[in-house]
Amino acid sequence: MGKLTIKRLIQAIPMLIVISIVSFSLIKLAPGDPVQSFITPAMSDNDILRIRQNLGLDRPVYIQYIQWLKNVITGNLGYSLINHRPVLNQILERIPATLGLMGSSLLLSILVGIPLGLISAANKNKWIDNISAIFSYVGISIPSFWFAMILIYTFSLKLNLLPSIGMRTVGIDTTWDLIKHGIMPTIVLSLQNIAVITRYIRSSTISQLKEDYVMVEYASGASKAEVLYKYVLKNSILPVITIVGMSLPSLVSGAFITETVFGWPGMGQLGINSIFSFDYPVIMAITMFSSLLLIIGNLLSDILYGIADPRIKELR
Amino acid sequence: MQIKRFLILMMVAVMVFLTACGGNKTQVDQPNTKEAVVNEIKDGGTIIFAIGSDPNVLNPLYAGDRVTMTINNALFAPLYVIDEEGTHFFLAESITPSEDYLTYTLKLKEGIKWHDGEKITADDIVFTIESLLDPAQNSHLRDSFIIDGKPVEVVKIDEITVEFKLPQISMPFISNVSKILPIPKHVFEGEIDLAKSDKNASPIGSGPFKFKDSKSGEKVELVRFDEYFDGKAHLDSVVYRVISDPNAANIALQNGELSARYIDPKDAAKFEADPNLNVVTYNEGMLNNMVFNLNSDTLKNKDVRKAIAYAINKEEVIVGAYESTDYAEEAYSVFVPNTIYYTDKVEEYNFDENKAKELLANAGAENLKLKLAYINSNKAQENQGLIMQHQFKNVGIELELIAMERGAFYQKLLDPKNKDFDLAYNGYVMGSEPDGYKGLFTVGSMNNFMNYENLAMDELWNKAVIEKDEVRRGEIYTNIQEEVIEDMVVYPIAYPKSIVAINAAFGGIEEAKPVPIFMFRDLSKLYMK
Repeated sequence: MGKLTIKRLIQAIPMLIVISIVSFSLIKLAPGDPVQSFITPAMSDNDILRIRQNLGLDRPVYIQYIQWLKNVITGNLGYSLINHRPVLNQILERIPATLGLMGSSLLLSILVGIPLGLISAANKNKWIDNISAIFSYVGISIPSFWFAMILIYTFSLKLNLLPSIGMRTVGIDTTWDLIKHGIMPTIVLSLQNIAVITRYIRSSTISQLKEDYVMVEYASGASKAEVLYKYVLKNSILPVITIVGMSLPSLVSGAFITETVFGWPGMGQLGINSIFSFDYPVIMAITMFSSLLLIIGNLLSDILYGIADPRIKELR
Repeated sequence: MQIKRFLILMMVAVMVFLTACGGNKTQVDQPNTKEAVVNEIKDGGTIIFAIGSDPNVLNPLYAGDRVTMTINNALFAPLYVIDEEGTHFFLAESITPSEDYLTYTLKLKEGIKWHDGEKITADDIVFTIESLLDPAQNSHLRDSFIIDGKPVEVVKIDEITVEFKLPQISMPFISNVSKILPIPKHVFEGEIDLAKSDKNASPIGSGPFKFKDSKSGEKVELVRFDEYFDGKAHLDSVVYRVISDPNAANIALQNGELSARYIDPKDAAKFEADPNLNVVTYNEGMLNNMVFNLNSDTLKNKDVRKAIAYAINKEEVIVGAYESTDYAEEAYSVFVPNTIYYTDKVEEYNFDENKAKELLANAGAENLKLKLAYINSNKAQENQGLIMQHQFKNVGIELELIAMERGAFYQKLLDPKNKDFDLAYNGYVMGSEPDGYKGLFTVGSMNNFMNYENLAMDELWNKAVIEKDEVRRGEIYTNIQEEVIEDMVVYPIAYPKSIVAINAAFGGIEEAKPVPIFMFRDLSKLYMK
């Protein structure tokens, strides 16, 4: 397993380099630059040219890329072109909020998705299964920003139960306050995953229920619930490991939208703002970090799958 | 059976959880209804503004975006401010030009202090100007202190007096100094790169509020500075909350999580009807206009440009784009009304379809096809375009609308060889000093989006800079406004208004003076009723 991990990590390096070249080129090819974000009339043509030159924005793209790569290799992610703060500090400040949101939504997805999938499978084609199917299809197809607005409108404006924006109330610094702020973004970010996990668990449980060992357990007098929770669950849960790995991209991209709508101070919000202000070093750092997260996520799901099902390991 | 029980338990748990979360009205002082308001000034309270993103660098040498300028306006006091009503002194007591207008003497008020208690002196002013003049420091204000290619010299005379020595007469200079918000020398002295300095993370300013705390992506919190030279502020604190989604921000304003924010004309009626909110409108200092691209062969003909101007029913366009003329005034000059020497006595090109058709026929430009570009995310511009498309059809002009991504649009607009479109919607804020508009109309300037060439006019701009006599200077700028409109290279559409919805619990709005960009010029005057 150790060898496999090292091999996969080494394989990730050229992939990251390709991602960085493509991202850097695309960002630079997009029209506009950070100097455009100034609105003051005091900004003259000379000021614009001088600042562009000082920031190195007048150099050819490949030179800018090489300079960026050199810095990254030495652990220097550079400075933001907009607020001139070290990029690394900004990312580190934002990571806890994003990971907290991603972690809680992953947990919610599993806690809701697995039981819901099992219940659906156990009640195949009954009303409860149909409701769960409708819920899953809606969950997969509903746009997250729209769902977020519906939640905010209902729970913040109409019912006044939950705060609509940010991570904390001004002047309050309690865990309970943090949880209240996190409820709606977590639900929005989880919705799609809950739907996917429910469907996977349902179908894998249904196929497990047809296996011989289930018949044997029933024959030896086990109840339906006992069979389901004691024997079937263990086997049907395997796909969840893969789904969790696979859901990381949607969590990362979902965080961009969710964090923006809810004013959640994570990397997604930082990413969107950097894109709008052409803050190249920050955009690059976030792109690379997200890519790394995906690679690690996939690797972890492979490893976990191997642990859960030794047959997979043997195949390699 | 067990499954059903589990399901019921889950539902009960969710309901209990949601009920437990109830009662989260924000902790900040809540509004009274408009009826209950008694105009009594009470000290204390917090005002929460919405900002679209984090501020950039809380250092006035680098603030060029709306958010940073807004926060800096509370943190740093200016030397003085010039507007259409005259000069208002803040840190400075006076600024006096010499007879030859080559030396300006600036006197600071006595006993004024930085937020850390140190005195604000002439050294700070000299340090600020020298820092922004340093080309390595990346300040966008540098060019304001370069006259005829040479830097302005700044000399300390005594503890509170500074002299500026100009290499050549420059009448806009006094206005350029007003853009300066001084920074403390004792804090920044010795820093190699001021933009990257750690000191910017906890700025020491001179304004009515001082820095308390900031959390990236969340908020910037300021608290009252008790030694503010103009008397301490009424409010205890000012919080700027980062909310980039306008819909979420509107809801936060309605449920009290926010105290004030800019709103769109389409939302104005809804907020006006809300008893917990007051809606304030004021001139935004901006001109929204349509640019004629003179690279277009057809538009090189002045009569065609004039015909287009006559084909536009301005009022209809404004109502379509801004809901009502209450939220955007009809514009005729290329200057905005708060610009010194502004005049509205220019040719108005009032809507006249027959005249438009006649001019087009005389110019041999019938069955004209034109392309108009605008930013795809700008709803007002899209509405304007659709209305003009319809209006142009009536005079025989086919208008193709090209919606462009913001960055792509500006790249094309700034390209002197651009022929991708003939017309474009644009907007500009140029300040109260008319020389600020020069870059829009002079040959070779980056911001001359029209690619306009009028050498006689360039001479007028240069003449106005050195004209000492106010009356004659005023005449030159009037002349310029008339001539640009006569040439019809920019069609002024509207002076849009800023619309701010503010919690009805706050008073002192007029005294705080609503102004473009910052929302309020002097936050120390706001109070809770």
